[in-house]
Amino acid sequence: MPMIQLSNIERYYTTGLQKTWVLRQINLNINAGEFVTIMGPSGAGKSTLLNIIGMLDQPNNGEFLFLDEPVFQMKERHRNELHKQYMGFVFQAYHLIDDLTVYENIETPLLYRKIKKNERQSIIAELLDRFNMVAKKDLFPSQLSGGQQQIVGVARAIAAKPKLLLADEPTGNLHSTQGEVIMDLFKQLHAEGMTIIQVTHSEKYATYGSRIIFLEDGFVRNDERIGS
Amino acid sequence: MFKNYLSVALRSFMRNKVFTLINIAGLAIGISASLVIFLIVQHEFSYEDFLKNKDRMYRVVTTLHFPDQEINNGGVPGPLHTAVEESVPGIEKSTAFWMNYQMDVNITDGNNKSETFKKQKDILYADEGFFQMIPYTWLTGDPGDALNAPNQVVLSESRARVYFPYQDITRAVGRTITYDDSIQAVVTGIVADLNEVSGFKFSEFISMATYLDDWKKYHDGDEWGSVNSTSQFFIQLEPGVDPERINEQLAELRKQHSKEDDVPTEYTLQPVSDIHFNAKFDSMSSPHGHKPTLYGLLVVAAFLLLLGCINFINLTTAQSSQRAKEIGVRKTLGSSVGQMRLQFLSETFILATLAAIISLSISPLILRIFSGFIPEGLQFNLRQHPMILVFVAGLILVVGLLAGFYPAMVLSRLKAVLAIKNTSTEMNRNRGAWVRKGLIISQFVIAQFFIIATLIVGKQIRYSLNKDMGFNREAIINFSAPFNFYNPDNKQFVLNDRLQGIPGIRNLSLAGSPPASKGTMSTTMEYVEDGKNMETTVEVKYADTSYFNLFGIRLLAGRNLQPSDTLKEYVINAFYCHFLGYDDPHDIIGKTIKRGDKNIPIVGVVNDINTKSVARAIGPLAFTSLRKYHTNFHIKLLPQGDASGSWNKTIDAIRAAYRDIYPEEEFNYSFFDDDIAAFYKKEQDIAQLLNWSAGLTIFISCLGLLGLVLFITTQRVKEIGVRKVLGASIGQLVVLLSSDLMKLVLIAFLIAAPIAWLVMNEWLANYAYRTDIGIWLFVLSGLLMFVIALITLSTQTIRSALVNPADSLRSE
Ligand SMILES: Nc1ncnc2c1ncn2[C@@H]1O[C@H](COP(=O)(O)OP(=O)(O)O)[C@@H](O)[C@H]1O
Ligand SMILES: [Mg+2]
Repeated sequence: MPMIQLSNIERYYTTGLQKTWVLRQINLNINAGEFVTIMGPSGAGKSTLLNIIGMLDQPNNGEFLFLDEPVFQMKERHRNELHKQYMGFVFQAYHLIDDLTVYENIETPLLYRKIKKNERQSIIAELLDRFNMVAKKDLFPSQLSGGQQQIVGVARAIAAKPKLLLADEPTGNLHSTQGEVIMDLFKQLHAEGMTIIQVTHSEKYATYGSRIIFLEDGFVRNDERIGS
Repeated sequence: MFKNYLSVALRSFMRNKVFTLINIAGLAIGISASLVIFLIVQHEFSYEDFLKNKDRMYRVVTTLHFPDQEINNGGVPGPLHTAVEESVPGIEKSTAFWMNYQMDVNITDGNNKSETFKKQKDILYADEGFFQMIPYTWLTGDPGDALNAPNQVVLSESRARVYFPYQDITRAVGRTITYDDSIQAVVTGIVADLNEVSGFKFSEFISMATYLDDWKKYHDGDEWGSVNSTSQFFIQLEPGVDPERINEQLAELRKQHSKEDDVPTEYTLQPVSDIHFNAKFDSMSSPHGHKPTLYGLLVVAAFLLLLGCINFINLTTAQSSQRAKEIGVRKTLGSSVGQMRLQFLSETFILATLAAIISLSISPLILRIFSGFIPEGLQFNLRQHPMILVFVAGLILVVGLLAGFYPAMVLSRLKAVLAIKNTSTEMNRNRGAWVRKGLIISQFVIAQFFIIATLIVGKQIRYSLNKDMGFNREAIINFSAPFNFYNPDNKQFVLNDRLQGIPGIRNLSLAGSPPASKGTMSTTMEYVEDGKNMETTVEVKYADTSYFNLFGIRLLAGRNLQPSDTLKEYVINAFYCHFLGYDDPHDIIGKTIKRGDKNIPIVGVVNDINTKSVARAIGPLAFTSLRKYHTNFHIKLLPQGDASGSWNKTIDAIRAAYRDIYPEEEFNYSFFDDDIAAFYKKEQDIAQLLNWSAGLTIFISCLGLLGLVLFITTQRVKEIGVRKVLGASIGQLVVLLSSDLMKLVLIAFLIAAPIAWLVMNEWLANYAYRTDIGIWLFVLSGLLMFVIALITLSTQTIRSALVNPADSLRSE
């Protein structure tokens, strides 16, 4: 059973009387353990698709089954639970909470999952250690470089041990060396069994994954598996 | 989780210091005003709450039904209480007492050394029932027999300490006190001072039997026909007794005892809880409370709170785009909408709590603002009023919900997808702009209303003070000679002669009360002519031959009064003359007014004068001369700087003469124009409250405006830069940045003006003589608000219009 089943997903915006189509007839299955890269020109609908998969946005038509459950028919609460249990997000602009320290940023998803204090401490300690951020744990985002911020972003995204990591141009704002650090992290996580869907413009980073979906004008133009 | 919210909240407060300050200042002002007003209101509404059987306790009061007037009196005729006790069933307890205005007290010690305490207040003649109904704590003495014989007195602890030097105050028992040089009483008990909110607070309780024995002959105390407000009668009904039934029995009693020509009189039960607020009947040891004033205060408190909350709502929702990112991120991290709401609400609560802490410390200041409304003895003291803390907690809750609910709804609703978009154009759409505009308008409606009200009340006060009352009031001083009703000494005439010789006095009158004064003496007069019988209540004033001249009251017809020791003739006012049907005052001269079995001639008519504040319409008035009741001196001083020297010199000479003749008395004088100004004490209090309310509402509203314009200018920095590059002038930019908000201020004026017009007309209707409101006043108040708002905005708009575009357009 695929983890994600999208059938005939369509998304448009109405501005005035005009309909602007963003996603057209998207049919996709993604299995647990895949590392998918979505590519395509700017405005192709990549972020929109990622947000729909991440349950942050809803399509106008089509069906979305997550682990065989119809996402858009379920109650808000239930969806929120699924979302909390399975999803982690990484953003191009990092989106750390400015008023929280590194430590507190990583802690926040754990708080929403009502994880006990000592357990939280050990999870965060482990992450800080793994990403070499122990010394920076009490700094605020504005005191970090972009690369460091994105590392915190990744740490925060995986703190609650999601099954699915969604990353929208995670390296878009980074220098290539910083970008590679992040991509190496992704590779490791994938190796550990995490399902990853990323959006990127970089041919090189696309090769870190196991499958490339090419989007254009809202249509899936190409969908190929690559060996690694 | 809460710690996470708290950290974010505190850090974002710190980051946005200006906004936080604006929010806290607005809320703190509202909270402290509410606190102080809460104290006042709760004090005022807690009168007699300490009486356990309050709901069964009543005062018997009297209503006299005159032909065209109803006169209410908090007292009863002397014999009523004995009659009631003897013949009305269903009464569990009762007490009758007489309140004394002032008495001179003399204490003589063992060595015949005597000490006098002048004009002691709060003295009662009370029967033994008093302490059975009013639970004073006895320090010593037997409540059972401390007041049941003549010449006994019970003292409050504080009063006993005034008179007696004992450390152990119970030793005062057995000492003798002399009242007004004529009555002696032995101290039979000491009670602790009544530390309750109550009108039953008195300091000396002389046994009623003393009064009955000694003073009966001077007072009409034994008569059914007269009633004195100092004669109080309280009863406590047995449980389940219907007060209406007692009222019926009181009516029956009245029937039995009234004579044919008595004014129809009614005795009714007044619930004890009604005494403090019902101004129809006299109060006891505390002045009346005024419910409309209290409601006015509550409205002010509510408005101030509301304005503070509005600032918070406006600033928070205006900045929603800044918070949008955090909201979106938290949603992707797993927060539910409910949790987001909780977070924002708790932020509001934290802010409200900070504001409350600050308000506790500025409350003493606010207390000063309301000083005219603060009951005596009320203090802002946490230890004395621990419920302040409960109230503050309640306020935090109310403010938190009021201010926090809407922003929490707006913010938590923000879509995560929009919030986390990499571009920020989406989020800058102004969320809740309409609501915000509406709220700003309502803020300024309130502020504008207060400005208009302040100006109108001020205008009416000025009008009242300057209105021609029909007499002169400049350079006139008043004082009264001590008057012993029981033992007239005629010394005032000696003083009168002495004063004649003082050079700085232009004119001197020894008469009754001045043309306008607080108290009123009125009586029913009957005018009979051609079978017409016109009976009406007429105000009476005593005047001597120089009274009219001194006060500049003009004779329209007839002649001045002649000195007389008996009721000989009347000079009436034009109103009474017209009332009796004479258009030409000359025609009424020589006509008579029937008083008892005598016919008193009208010898003159004078112009109408206002004998009270201008709230009261002019009514019938008669002057007469009754020399033995003339104890008030009215002195017109020569203008200062004449050969006579200064007023101070003249007054010193008058004082010296006075002290010569009354060596034991204090000389207290007042200027007549000050006394008249004092008629408007209540109006002055209202004016003060309105001034402050206007000031505070303007302040809070402008704080909010400042916050918004700060926000708008930061948001539009780029736009301003671009426009400048394209050639916009500073003036054009300032107009561009201010016009949206100024439009709201204008709309607020358009809404507030008619409301204020209606409300203030209603208020002015209370005054028989009133100023007209006038268009210019509205124009002025609108301009005032406009200018203040414009200045507030300019501090920010000009600054941002001056920014060098090179700086603002530098790419990030
Ligand atoms: N809220 C919105 N309203 C209208 N159009 C939108 C909205 N959000 C996105 N779009 C449009 O949808 C298209 C796809 O956007 P997006 O998914 O962000 O593209 P990508 O991530 O591939 O660059 C774009 O043309 C964008 O302008
Ligand atoms: Mg995108």
